[in-house]
Amino acid sequence: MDSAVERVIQELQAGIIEQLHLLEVAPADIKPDAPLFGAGLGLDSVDAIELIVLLETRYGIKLQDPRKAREILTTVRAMAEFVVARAPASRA
Amino acid sequence: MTRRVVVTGVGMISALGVGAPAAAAALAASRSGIGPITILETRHRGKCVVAEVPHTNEDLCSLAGVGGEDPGRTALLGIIAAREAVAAAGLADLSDVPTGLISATTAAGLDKTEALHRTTDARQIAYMLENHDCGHSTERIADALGLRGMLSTVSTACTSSANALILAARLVSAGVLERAVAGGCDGLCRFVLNGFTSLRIVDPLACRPFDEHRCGLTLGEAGAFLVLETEAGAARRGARALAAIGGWGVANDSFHQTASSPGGDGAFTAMGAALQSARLRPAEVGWVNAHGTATENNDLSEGRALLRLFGADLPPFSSTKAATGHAMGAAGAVEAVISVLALERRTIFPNLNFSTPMKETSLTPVTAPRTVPDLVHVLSNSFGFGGDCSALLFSQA
Amino acid sequence: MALFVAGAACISPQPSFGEGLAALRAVAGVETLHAVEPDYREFFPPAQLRRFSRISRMAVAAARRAVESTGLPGVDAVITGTGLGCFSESEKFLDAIRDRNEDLLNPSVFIQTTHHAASSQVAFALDCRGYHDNYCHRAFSFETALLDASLLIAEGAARRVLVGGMDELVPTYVGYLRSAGLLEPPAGLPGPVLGEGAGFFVLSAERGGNDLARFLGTGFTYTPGGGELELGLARFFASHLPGGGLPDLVLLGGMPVREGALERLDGGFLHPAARAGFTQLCGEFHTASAFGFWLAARILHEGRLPAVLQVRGTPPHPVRSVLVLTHHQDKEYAWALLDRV
Repeated sequence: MDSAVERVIQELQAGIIEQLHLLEVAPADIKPDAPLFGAGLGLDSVDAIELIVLLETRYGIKLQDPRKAREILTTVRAMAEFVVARAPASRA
Repeated sequence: MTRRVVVTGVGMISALGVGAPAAAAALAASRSGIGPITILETRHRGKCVVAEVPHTNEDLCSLAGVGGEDPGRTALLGIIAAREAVAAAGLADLSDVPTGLISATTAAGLDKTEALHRTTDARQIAYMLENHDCGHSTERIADALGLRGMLSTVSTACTSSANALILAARLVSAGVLERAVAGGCDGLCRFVLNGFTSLRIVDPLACRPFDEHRCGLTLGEAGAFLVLETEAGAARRGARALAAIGGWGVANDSFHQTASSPGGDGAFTAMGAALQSARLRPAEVGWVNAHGTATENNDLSEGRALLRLFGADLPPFSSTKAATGHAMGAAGAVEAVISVLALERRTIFPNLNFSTPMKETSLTPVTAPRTVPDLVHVLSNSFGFGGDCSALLFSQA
Repeated sequence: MALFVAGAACISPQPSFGEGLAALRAVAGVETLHAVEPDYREFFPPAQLRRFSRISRMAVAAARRAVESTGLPGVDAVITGTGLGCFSESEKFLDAIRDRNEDLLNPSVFIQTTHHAASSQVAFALDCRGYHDNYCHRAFSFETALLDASLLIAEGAARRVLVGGMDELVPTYVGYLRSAGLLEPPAGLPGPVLGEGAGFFVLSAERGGNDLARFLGTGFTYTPGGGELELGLARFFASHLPGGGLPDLVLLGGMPVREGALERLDGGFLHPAARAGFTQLCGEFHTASAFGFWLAARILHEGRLPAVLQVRGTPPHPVRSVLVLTHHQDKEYAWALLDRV
C-alpha cells in the first residue's frame, strides 16, 4: 500500500506541474505534505478543477464537486492516498 | 456639458421570444425560456438546459431581413433587436442627427470559428475570418440600420453590454453624439458552453438565483438594444421617453480572475457609484434587477454587497436570469430592457426557481410579479469575470 | 481638453521597450514581425506566469513600465483596446473541444480566452479598483479606449487613466489570412507585414515632470462617404489643433496595402503636412496605432525624427504636432492627435 502511495506521489508531482503549467517548479519542490491550497503551493479554485481533470484523465476517478475536491486534496500525499483507495484494483 | 439621457425605444430577442413585448408578457406571467438544447449541436444535449432563442439561423435570417450569407447567430440576434429598438423609437432614418452605435459581445463569431477551425477551404476561411472578431456583428448591425460614423464594441464578458450602455449614455450626455443605439448580442456556441461547464458552474437543471441550493448558471443567448437620446432631442421630435438613465457606476473587484470577493467589494462600489451619480439615497431605489447568475460565488457576493449598501433599506430585488438565462455579453442590455419595461408597466418581475434563502444572508427575492404604482428608480447590476462590476440606474422619464 | 501623456511603454517588433527613437531599425523582406519581448520574470512572480498568456504578459509588462515611467504610483482607471483578444488561447480551447469531444477540458485555458482577459490582468496587476473597460473593434479598439479615457477625465471621474492597445500575432491566424488571399499585395506593391505588440500610456489631467507629449483628441468613423473623411478631419483639426491648419506630421498605417482613402488623403488633403508610414516598423495589426501613438509621443519628446522613418514632405524642426491615422480594409478610419508639451 505504502509503495503504491509513494509511486502515485511521484506521478502526481509531475502530473500537477504539467496540468497546472507550473513553470520553474521541479517535482521535488512539491513537498508531499505541504498544503496545496492557500499556503504552500498556493493553488486556487480554478486549479482545484484542473486537479479534478487530472484525476479523471490519469486515474479514471470522477470528482464532481470542486469544493469537495479541496477538502480531500489537501496535500499531494492526501491526493495519492485518495487515488490508491479509489482507483480500480489493477492500478493500485 | 451634461445633458439628461432618455430611452426612446427598446428591442429584444431572447429565449422569451421575439420582441420586447413578448419578453414583458412572459416575465409578467412568470414564464421561463429555459429548456433542453434543441438547436446547438453539442455533446451536452440532454446533460444541461439552456435558454435558447427558439429559432434556427435560417429563421433568424428571415426575421432579420438578411439575404445572402448567414452573418452568424450573434450578428442576427443583434440586427433583429437593434431594428426593433429603432422602429419602436419611431425612427425611420437615423441620419437626422449624429447617431452612434455602441454594441457588445463576448462570443462574437465563435459559432463559425468553432465550426470552421482548421478548415483548408479558402472561401470558408475568409468567411470565418470576417465573422470571428467582435467588430463583425456591430458592423452588420450598422449596415442593417444604415448607420455610418461612430461605432464601436465593448468586450468585457458579462458586463459587456452594461458597459456599452454606459459609454453610449456618456457620449450623448457630453454632446459627442446626439443619439446612440446601444446594447449587445451573443449567440450560443459550443465554445462558451464548454467553457462554463469546464469551470463546473453550469446547473444541469434550470438555475436557482439566490437559492441556498443553487449550483450554477444557465447559459442563454439574446440580442438587446436601446435607443438613447437627449431629453431635449426626444422632445423636439415628439418622441416618448420610456425612461431616463439617471446614473451609472463601474468598478473592478480586483480579487480573482473568475471569482468575486467574498464581501462583494466591486459590486458595492459600482452600485454605490450609480446611486451617487443619480443623487439618490439607497431607500429611493424601487427594484434591483440583480446580476444573480445562480453561481455559488456571485449570488453570495452580490447578496452581501446589497446588504452592505442598502442595509435595512434593501429594496425588492430579483434576478430575471431564471427566465432569460445568462446571455453573457448581451445580459446587461437584456436586463436594461427589462428595467425599462418594468418602469413602463410599473411592475417588478420575479426571480423564478427560488425556495430557500442563502443561509449566510437570509435574503429573499421577489418571487411573483408585483405591481408597484410608485416605481420610480430601478438599479440593474452586471458583474463578470475579471472582476468587472457595472451598475445602471434607470428612472421614470 | 488636452491631456498629458505622463508615461508610455511599448512592446513591439522594434526595441521600443524602455528605449527611444535611436534604437529603431528598418525591417525589410519579411511577412511577419514578432515582438521583442522583455524577460517577464522582472514583472511576474514565476508561480503566477502560468495564468498569463503571451498577450497578457506583453500587456502587463508594458502597463507596469508605463505607470512606473510617470514617477508616480497608481492610476484611477484602466481602459484598453484589442482587435482579436487572446486568439492563441482560444485556439488551444477550440482544438481541445474537438480533440477531446467536449470532455475533460481545461478551465485555466478557457478563462484566458475572453477578449478582456489580458485587460483584466492589467487592472489586477496594478490593483486598480476603479473604472475598467475593454474595446474590441478592429481599427477602432485603441481609439475608443482613448475616447473613453478623455471622457472619464472630462467628467471629473478620474485624474490619471491607463490606456492601452494590444494584439498578438498567432501563426494559425497568419495562415488563415494567407489561405484567404488577404496577404496578396496588388501588383507592383509590397505585401503587408503583420506585427504585434502592446502599447500603454498614462493620460493625466495635470502636467507632470515626466510628460512626453500632450494628447489633444481622437476620432474614428465607419465607411465614410466621398469627401466625408476630409471634412471630418478638417473639423477635427479646427477644433483640436492649436492654431488650426494641419498637423506638422502625419503617421499613416493600415491594412491591406491598397490604401484607398488614405492614399487619396496622402496625395491631396494632407498636403503640405509631412507624411510617413509607420507600420513598416511595427507591422500591421488592429492596435498598431498604439505603436504609432508611442512613436508620435517619442518624436515630440525627443524633438527629432528617427532616421528609419521615410518622410514625404518637409516637416518643421522640431515637429510640434503629430496625427496618427490608420485604417482597416478601407472601411474603418481612426486617428489620434498629439502635440508638444
